[in-house]
Amino acid sequence: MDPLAAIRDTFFQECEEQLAELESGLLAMEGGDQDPETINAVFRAVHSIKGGAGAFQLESLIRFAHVFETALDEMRSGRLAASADVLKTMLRAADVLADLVSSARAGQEGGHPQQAALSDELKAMSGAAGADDDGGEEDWGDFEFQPMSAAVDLPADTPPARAFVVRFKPRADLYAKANEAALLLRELTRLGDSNVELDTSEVPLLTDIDPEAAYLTWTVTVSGDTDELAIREVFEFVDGDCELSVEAQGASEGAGETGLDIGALLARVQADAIPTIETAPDEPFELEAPAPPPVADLAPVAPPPLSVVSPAAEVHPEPLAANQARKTEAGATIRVDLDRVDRLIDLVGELVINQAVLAQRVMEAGLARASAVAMGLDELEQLTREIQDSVMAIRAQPVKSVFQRMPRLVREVAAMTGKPVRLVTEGEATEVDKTVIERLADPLTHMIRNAIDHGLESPEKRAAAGKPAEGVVKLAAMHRSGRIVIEVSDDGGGINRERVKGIAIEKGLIAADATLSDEEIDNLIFMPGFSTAAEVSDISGRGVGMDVVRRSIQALGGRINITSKPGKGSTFTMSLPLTLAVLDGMVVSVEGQTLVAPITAIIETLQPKAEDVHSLGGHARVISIRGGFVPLIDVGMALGYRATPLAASDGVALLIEGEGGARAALFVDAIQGQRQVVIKSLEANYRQVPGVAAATILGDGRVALILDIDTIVAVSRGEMRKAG
Amino acid sequence: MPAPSSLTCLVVDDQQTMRSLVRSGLQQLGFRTIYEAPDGEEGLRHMLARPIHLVISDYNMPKLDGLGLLRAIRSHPPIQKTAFIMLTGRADKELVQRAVQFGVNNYLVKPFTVGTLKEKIEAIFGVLA
Repeated sequence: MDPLAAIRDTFFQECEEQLAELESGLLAMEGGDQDPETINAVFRAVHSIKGGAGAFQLESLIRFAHVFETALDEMRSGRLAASADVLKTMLRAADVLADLVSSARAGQEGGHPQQAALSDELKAMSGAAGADDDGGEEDWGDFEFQPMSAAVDLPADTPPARAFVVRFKPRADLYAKANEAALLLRELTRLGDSNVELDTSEVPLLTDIDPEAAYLTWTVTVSGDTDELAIREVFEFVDGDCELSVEAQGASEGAGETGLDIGALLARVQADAIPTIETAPDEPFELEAPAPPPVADLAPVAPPPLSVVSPAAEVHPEPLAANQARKTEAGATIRVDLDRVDRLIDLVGELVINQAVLAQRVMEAGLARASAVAMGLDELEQLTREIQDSVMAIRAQPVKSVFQRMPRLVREVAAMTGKPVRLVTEGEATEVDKTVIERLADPLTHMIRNAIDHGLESPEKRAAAGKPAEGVVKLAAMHRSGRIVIEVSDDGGGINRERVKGIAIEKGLIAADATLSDEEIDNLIFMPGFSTAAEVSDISGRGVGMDVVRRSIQALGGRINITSKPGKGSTFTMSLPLTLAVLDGMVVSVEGQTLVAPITAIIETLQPKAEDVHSLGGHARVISIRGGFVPLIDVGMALGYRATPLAASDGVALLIEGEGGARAALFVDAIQGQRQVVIKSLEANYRQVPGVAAATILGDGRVALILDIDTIVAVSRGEMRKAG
Repeated sequence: MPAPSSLTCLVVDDQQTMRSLVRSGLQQLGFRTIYEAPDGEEGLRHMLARPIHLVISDYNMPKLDGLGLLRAIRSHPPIQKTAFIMLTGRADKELVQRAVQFGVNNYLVKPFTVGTLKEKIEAIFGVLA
């Protein structure tokens, strides 16, 4: 890749981060955050986008970012109040900026329909200052820059050999905490040529010695290619349990400035921040004889031996502490091409299969369970699993990346419907495989649109019902028994069951005289063809019904259902696998075929007695389990492996819970065991087959189909209804 | 006069994009040893750990900004004589004025070309070999 193209990629990646920062900052300010660092971060985000855009000549992005930045600058300097209206405009501007970034990324530099209008609004906000555009720099070129010929020590091909004198006096605590001074000193002497001196003058007479006290002081002179940081790192863990001073020797020209550590230096810069700028603006800067810093009154008069806590830092601990707190935000991360991760995951999948094949071969070879080979294999299996988990963790991402797109959506839909809405998010840090996250955006978008458009009542109706005018849409994510559960809820009026039932009857989805439970009525909205033409609006009616949402969730191996309380609101609950790459499966045999049922769906397995199974006529059967009846579905028949059902006593039933919590029992010939299987797409390699979710390769090298339990149950239920 | 390969550079900017752009420019000019830091504080840490001849630093950064970094450098004798070029987002005269007070050696307005970068460096060190 040409280097500039690579930097361009980096730029757009950074833009994503900056846009997220921009939005969350503005939202925080909207919520009352008055931390100056928030507005600074917001400003910096736009500023950085503009800077990068400049490097790649993205004109319309530059222009808009400039106007936006100017307005933010006004706000930052306090000339523009961060009122609710101003922030709303800023948020809309952030949306436009995001759009401009994505069109620039796609290579379309056409501008944005709202760009001009928003630019004007922003300019109006910035007032006169907005007009003060980049004036060019040509007309102000006669600064007296510091001449460097005298200032830079050139050439410095070899770094000046520096020596540090380290004085180390352990306190009793250091020994009490089982630290070993000798080890620290050994570590220290590895940093360069060292000369170690031991001061034993404090050691008392033998009769007076307290065995738990500390009497020794070492002075170590370390020279060579090292620095103070490296030296201090040696003592990192005994910080506070010793007296430590590190002084540079010979390297410094300035008196009393030797070995200043970074904390002290920073504290000093912060301490004199204001006075220096305001004092004597015309005073020329003298590099050769640097003016003593005006902090002289803060700093001790005598050159301090550098102690662990420098006096300057003691005087001004707050700014430093604040800085430290902010520092934790950015963790140590690397960017890796997703293809590489995918390839790794693929390979680990193959490794898992291979390990299973090997295990099977060893078993077939008749080796004892306790043989060295079998035991080694057990360890391999353990390791393989761990590798797999770790690799999966690489691709796992917090759902935040998709959740953070939603505030904008909510703003837009709220504006279009005229309903004031507040979005509440929870569990943004919940992690799930990136592939799952990517495919969540569309269904979530649709559900949130729906929640605002159909779920929430108009402000008048809400007022009449005694609810606050502002509706609440909540988006929450959590881990629950090896799956991720995502809930979209609203505090609206709940499902209008009469109307839903009416529509379903009208559309011929259910019989006019059907008696349905509330739950069944609520779930009618997921039926294909339910989406109502009468309700097609700009917002929800994009030709996508809830059935499409359900299908896309199912395609992810997930389930979705709805619970609704009249007058209180509705909650959509999606339960999704954490990854699309592996599955814990129950391996079963049916009519000589090996099949896999996802273990997450199985509640229990049981050996039915003949008297527990009752026929409903045709081939439909139910099984009585602890007093309740659930449909008994013969998997062999459902998939067309056999024409007549297996006798009740000849097989095993897997009690499963399908979507919406409906239970059924899958009837199979036998259970072979539990296994983690690597999912291979059937669609990608063959075509979609109803009742089959995917395929896998088993230890013996055979291909086994993974059952799509929900489809099997749905199809059999339909048939049962016909039979009944 | 000096060979760029004999000079060590430190590029300080909170944006990876900008650091990469400056690095790429410096490389085109023959610089070999280039360090990067995402903010002034990290930059300062670098400077205390190894000899740096030239700092090219952004102004607006979290934690310690460019001016703060410049002032920290100028107030600390061991690193005091380090050449410093301030990167600014726009032609901000006031900022450059303040930077001059603190002993900045030159400034560079974003976006910049390799030519301008060369010009500014040469204004400090003399014509690069």
